[in-house]
Amino acid sequence: MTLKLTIITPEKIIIDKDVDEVIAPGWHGEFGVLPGHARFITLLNIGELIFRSGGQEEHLALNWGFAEINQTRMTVLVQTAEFDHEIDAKRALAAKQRAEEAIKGISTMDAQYEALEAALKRALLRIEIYQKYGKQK
Amino acid sequence: MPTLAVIRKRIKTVTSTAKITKAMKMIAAVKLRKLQQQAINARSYSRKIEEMVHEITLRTDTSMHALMRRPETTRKSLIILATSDRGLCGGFNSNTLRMVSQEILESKKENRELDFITTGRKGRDFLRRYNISNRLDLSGSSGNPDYSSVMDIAGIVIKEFSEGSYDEVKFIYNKFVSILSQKTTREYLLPIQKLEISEDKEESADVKVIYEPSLQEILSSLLPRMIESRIYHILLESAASEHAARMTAMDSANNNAKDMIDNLTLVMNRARQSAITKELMDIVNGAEAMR
Repeated sequence: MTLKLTIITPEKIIIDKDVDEVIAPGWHGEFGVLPGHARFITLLNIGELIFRSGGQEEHLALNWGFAEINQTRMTVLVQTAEFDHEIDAKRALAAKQRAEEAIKGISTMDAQYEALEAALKRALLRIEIYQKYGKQK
Repeated sequence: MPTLAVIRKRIKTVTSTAKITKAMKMIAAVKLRKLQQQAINARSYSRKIEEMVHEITLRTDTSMHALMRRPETTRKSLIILATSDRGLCGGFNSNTLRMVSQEILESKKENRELDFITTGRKGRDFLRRYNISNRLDLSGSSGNPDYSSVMDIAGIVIKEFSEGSYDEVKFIYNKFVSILSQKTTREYLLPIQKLEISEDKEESADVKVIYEPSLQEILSSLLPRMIESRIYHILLESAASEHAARMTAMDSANNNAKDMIDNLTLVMNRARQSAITKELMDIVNGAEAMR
């Protein structure tokens, strides 16, 4: 039995293929999915999604989304998803600095705080994934 | 009859116009093809989201959520008006604006206020000409909608509908039926209409599913995404219609130009022939007189 992984953003279908295993950033922390998983719908955090197929491992930076899982399929809907080799490290660094600057000035109660925190998280995630895998390619 | 030189000049201008219309037609065709692909890509996302929302609505009481609100009376509506930035696309804009006028008349009759969000310069100019207030103007990207303007629209829509400032949100746009036909349409975005999902999906409602963090929370983050993806979809469709309309308009302009050139060539040949005949007659007459 295989697991068909489909990752869709509003602009395009990122991936649609059979994989052996997926590790995704769930709401309550990372979770792994193997073929035959119970029906499961969850929100995803900003985080790293890993999938393995045929001994190869691939990494994606996810920016908020959700996943629907059943026995043979896993469908992930996200705003954006980037493979490790697609990440623009310079842009991520600039985004990180911008977010850090902006977040200093405001209190945690501010309406903008959450959005800025998310932007910072995204930038940090991109940098992290880039440093882990991006350079090798 | 116009002189030969005048006709020649006229043929030249028509020929160069034909070149322009032909180029515009080809550009529109390329852009349309690109957009069609984009629309197909977007469709799988929006369909999946609607499926998920539908599944959740089967399992839980959704009337609690602000975006599922169903106002009893409609006092104020928001119209998202999609027109093009540039003209030369046949009846694309005039049909849309006619529907807007109709909507304005209806709203006056029903005593309901109207607000507008426009994408495309033509819609904005129309409202400006009649001194109608415009909430948000997103002109400049009608032929190639991007997700950031979608987010701008969705932000206003979601916030103000939940707060109750608007009782309904509608689109007025051109639906893409085929390359040869686009239909000007009024369509509801909010309140959420009954979702069109095929029947066979219904029975899965009693299978046990794990939800994280909770049904309610998933729903409240799904609904805004669904609205965004609908707006994106509509903008894409309007852009596709725009290019298709321009393509057809330019195609017929090009055909008309060709007809004109044919007619003018005929007139030109006739004028040339009669000039030759006249000259010949002069020579013959001259020779006759010399004898």
